[in-house]
Amino acid sequence: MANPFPTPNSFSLIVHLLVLVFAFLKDFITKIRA
Amino acid sequence: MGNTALLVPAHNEEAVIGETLKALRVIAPPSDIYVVNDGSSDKTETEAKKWTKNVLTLLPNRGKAAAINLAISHFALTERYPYIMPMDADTVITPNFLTHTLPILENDKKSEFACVVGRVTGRSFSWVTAYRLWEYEVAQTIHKTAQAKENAIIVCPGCATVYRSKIFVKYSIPTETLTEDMDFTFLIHRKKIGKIGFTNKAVVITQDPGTLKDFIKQLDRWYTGFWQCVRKHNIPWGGQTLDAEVGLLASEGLFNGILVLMLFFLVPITLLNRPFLLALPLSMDLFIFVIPTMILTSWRSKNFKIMLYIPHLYLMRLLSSLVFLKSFFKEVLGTELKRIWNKATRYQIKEAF
Repeated sequence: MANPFPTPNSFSLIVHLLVLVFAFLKDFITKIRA
Repeated sequence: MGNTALLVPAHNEEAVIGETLKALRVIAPPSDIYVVNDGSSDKTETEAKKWTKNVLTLLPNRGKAAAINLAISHFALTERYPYIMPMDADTVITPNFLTHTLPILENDKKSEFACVVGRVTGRSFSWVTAYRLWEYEVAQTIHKTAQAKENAIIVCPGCATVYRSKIFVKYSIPTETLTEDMDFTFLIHRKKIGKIGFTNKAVVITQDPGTLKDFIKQLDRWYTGFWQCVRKHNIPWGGQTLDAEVGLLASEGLFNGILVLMLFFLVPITLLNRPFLLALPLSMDLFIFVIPTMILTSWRSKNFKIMLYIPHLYLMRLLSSLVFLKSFFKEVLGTELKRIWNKATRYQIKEAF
């Protein structure tokens, strides 16, 4: 079982894209500070 | 002997298990490959014995989860291996799967990770499988990658996960639901057994339903199993990120199902009165979501013919939403549990990778 939900998912898609953007920014800022 | 036991549960899989074991032989010696033949009435056992001596046959059949648990105990896998990877008999592992997953567990000196999940993909040969390929891409490249960042991966697929074997000393794979892999994933979260890692680079190729009838049958089983797991693990009342994640996806799935039902009435009325009201959301969905993700899927699978299936994709999306809604009502209003093997018609795979 790889995908337990129907995939129209527009709202969760936006939420998850935001999570990925924030995770990227967090990593980026951590690298710059280091 | 390697450090990973590869365990294949199988029930009437003679058509496909040969290819699965052949692919496993590329990455592991026969001594590390284990098959539990769960009461097959075909030649699964004979096929399996061509590739490994470690074949356990259960009579009568016990179901997939119970078969895996019994095989782990019978072959003493937790004592002999640090890692165990269950592998579906209809799935082909790619040669670098362990190369990408094992270092995450091996370099994790504090043993924070309970398991590592790879990516599942399929082969596109019909409009049904093309849809599934697209669904895998969106669900894993976007949703699962984000879930990994939140430590809220909601399913460790039964065919693409390497576990620390010590987990199975204390816990076994649950047998009470139709989706034992999701049930076990929820258990990992609830018991705080450890983090779940994810890597997009480790790939397995599974066999997706080739016909619409089999596709609906599989969706019904997956979605019904999902609602069983939700009830069993008291979601969304557990106070974990898992609850928020499942709550988000489930409520959206239900909303979509209700929307689809309403569309049957609203579309004809809107088309007659204000057709532009439909054109705007549909074109936004097509150009912002569908076409970019279909390009991604085509590029990943190196098959641009998939783009031709965009019209079919809309039909399948509507169908999936309706099955999700139906399974919700079935599980909420009735409590029948079917703990039996329920699968699509198998067909031989000629091309391994």
